[in-house]
Amino acid sequence: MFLSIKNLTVSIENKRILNNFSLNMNEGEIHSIMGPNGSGKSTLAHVLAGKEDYEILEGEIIFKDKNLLDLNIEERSQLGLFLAFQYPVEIPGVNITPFLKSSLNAKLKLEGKPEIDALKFAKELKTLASELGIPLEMLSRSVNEGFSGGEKKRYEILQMSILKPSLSILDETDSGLDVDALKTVMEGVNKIKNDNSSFLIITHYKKLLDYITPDFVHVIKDGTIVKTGDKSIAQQIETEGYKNL
Amino acid sequence: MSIQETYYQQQNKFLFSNSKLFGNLRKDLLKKFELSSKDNKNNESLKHLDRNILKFSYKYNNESNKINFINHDENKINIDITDGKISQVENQHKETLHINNIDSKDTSVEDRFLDFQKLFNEDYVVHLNSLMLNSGYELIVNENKDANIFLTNDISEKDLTIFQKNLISCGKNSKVKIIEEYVSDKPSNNNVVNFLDIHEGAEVIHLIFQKNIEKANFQSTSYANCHKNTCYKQLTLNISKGSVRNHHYANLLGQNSSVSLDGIFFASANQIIDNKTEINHNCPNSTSRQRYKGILTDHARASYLSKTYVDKIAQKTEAYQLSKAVLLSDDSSFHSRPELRIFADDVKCSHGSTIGPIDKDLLFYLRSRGLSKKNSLSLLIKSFFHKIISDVHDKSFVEKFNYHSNIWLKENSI
Repeated sequence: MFLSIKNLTVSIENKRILNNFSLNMNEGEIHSIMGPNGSGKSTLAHVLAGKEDYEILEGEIIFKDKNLLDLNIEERSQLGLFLAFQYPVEIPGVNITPFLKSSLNAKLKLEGKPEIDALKFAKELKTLASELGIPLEMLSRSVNEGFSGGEKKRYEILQMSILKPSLSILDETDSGLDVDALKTVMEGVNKIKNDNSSFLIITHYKKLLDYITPDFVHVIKDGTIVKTGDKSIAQQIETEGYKNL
Repeated sequence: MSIQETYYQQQNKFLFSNSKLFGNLRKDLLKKFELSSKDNKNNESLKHLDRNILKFSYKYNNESNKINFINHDENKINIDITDGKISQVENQHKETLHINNIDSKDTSVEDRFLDFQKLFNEDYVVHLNSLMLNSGYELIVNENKDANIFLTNDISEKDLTIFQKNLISCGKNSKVKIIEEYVSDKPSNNNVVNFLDIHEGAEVIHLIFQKNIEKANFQSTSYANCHKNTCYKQLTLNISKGSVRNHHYANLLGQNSSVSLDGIFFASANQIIDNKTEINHNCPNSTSRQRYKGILTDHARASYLSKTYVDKIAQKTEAYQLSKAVLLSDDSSFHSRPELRIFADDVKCSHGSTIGPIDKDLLFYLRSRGLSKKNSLSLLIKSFFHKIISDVHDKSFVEKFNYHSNIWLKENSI
């Protein structure tokens, strides 16, 4: 199993957020997580990425045959897990281009590969940025500094394009994006998508799933999955809300 | 030995020891040191100071005022200062710069020092400097001249106690860059007071680099008078290992003048860092900025008092204060106190202060991209100082900051 989450129970500040949560993914699959506010969607994303604020009370996470709970944040990233943040932070003074290059090189090092050539990297970065509608001058700026919400989301997808993760977790990537921006961003996501790349897409809205059709849609409520099905669940939620699920 | 005993034992060796006026001043100052610690409990100059600075054995041997002049016909003026006195000058360009060491016979300098003393009624560190004054220099940049001046301060032997006052004057419409370095590798105590006169139309950039060893205590006080249409930008970079005091003042005396007093400091072990800036707006249409940022770890303690005074005639003043510290350990501490006294009604004044650990969300973000915790912390610390460093348009100074801040991070296992 590519990703196996078994009976995961997680709390923060003595409050349980995930309760006996389980999910299995095969490589290349696209899963969507939907649920009301406060149901544990973002917590799931952050726990997978290794955020240290959470207490794992029970359960296990196996990713690519490795116990994810034994790995720290950067080790999980280097193993091929990528989180596209719902609210990407601004980091003045940390220039985008060298930062991304360092990230990529950290991953390559773990894979036993040589560091990427600077010119090749710059060229690839410019190409991908253009495809995502990111002005080239933004590549010389600090991480997310002064970016609009939509620009920050595009930049998350740019990072994903460079790092080519095995599992991409998109945490409400559609929030804050207008119709055109959403289209551009999801085209970027689809370009990365291949038989070996897997996605865990967290969203409130069916619209996003029109661009990237999930194999499974899971509804999470009170920290556990209450329903699993195909994309038609998203339509049902859009029409009826979460009450009847 | 008490300060009084030290003074009486050494008094003939100090500058202006034969001056009646200076003698009277010193008598008054000695009385202040007789006050008990209870009397000066709230004294600002003592509150955040490492009191060990006040316990010393006086030692000073440099009697020579001789300056060695060398000319390599380059633009950069290199000035070596040994034990508080100029010992060598490279590329003086006499039409640009006048330099001399302070001499007890110079009554005009004496008068100026006596005047300046009135500005520091309650500052014990400046009182000590005046009591034991043994060195100093005068540096005058002529009108309409550009000068790039490098001041390197050295201490010739261990355990020296240097009390120096320097007069720096930047003539009308001059453009001056002064880079000062204090890098002492010997146990010592260096108490420096700089008086700067920035004349009409002058633009001065003043970058101060401090990297003294643990037992080299250092107190730096500066007072800049800024006249009409002037710009004075000061940045103090303190990566010393000993106790340091940086107290810097500026007076805006003429319209359309601007001042910035910025500082960066790193503190570890049991260091005590005492910072203060004060800017007085005494005329309309002037701007100021005070920004101090620091990183502390272990049991280090630091303070930053930032003060802005806006006189009632100083309409259209814009004044900004910022104080930020990152605490990397539970036992480090930072005390910040902004103060704004505003008597004009058409002004823009603001202040901000934050103290806390490294932002966990920023750290998580960087690590989630595969960067190690160490590299991420290092990037975040550089990010923390970015806004101040990006205003420094001197490549070698920025490189110096990058180099020494990396070493500090390594030495402190960050």
